Amino acid sequence: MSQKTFAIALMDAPYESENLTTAFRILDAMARRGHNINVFAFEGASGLAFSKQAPHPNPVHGKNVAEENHPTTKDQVTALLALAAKSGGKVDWVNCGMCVDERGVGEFVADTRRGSPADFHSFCEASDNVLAIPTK
Amino acid sequence: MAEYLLIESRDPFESNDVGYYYDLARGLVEAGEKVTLFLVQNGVFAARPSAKAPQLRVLVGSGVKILADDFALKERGITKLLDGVQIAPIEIVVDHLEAGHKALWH
Amino acid sequence: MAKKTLNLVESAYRAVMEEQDDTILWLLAAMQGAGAEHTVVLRGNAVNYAVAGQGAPGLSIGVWKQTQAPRMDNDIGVERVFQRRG
Repeated sequence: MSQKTFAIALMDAPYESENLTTAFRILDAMARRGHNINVFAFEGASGLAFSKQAPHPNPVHGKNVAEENHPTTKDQVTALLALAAKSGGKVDWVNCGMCVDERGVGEFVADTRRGSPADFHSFCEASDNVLAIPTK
Repeated sequence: MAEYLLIESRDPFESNDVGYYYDLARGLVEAGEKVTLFLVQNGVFAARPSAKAPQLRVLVGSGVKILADDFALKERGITKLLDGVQIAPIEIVVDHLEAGHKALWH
Repeated sequence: MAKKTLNLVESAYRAVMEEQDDTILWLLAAMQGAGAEHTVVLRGNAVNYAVAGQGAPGLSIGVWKQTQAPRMDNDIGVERVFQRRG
């Protein structure tokens, strides 16, 4: 299969919806196949790449920070970028600027960037296919 | 003929809107399109043989290909499926996107 | 004496992979540890938490792998739920 370019729109905030678990599984599958992926992180999803997320222990399960190994979406974003690069694809991860501002999540992991709806429009125009995952 | 991938993340027990989505799938097939309905997340609850989900049962055999996400099934301990529903990995979403099929998420 | 609460839990599998817990059941367990007395009724989709043997493998994205995927049946203690019903 030749390399394709896909646009994905995400809206859900981290730790609030199973949509993101499924979204990251789809993104992983795309990246493994070496496709280019353009992600527009809108609304709550603008916090997915926020660099100040921190894992925590789980006293109910009796696990310290290391043992709990709590997932952070910022680490998932970073892993996705690395996987894509290794597989020959490229990820352009855009965090919607106004969404970022109102949430105060303006510090992102490396190789993600601030953008606007104009980026999502460009993504749709430039991509072979688009998947929008709306929030409920 | 166009091809569609309809991804259903909700179940008909919590959301009345799921029936609309099943109807959309059937309507597209009746209009001559090719449709795959992929149940993910809580959407797989409707695929248990014991579930009271008559609107999904009606879709079986209607021409809509019905798949259920293997991860969601394992997560929920669902080991048996309604006849006519097949287990599928998440990679099928990428298969459909690669092929240029229109993908919708509900 | 601690107040007793009755908690109706119906929303299910909402971000349990990311949190490695159902956050409401977790909160109740944490409060119980602090001396609270809670009863939980699972209704709607949340009754599925009582299905024994459930659980997906952890997520993986590239080299990142989840090592503590949740097991909702373990979290609610399946045996205790059925004993109360019986």
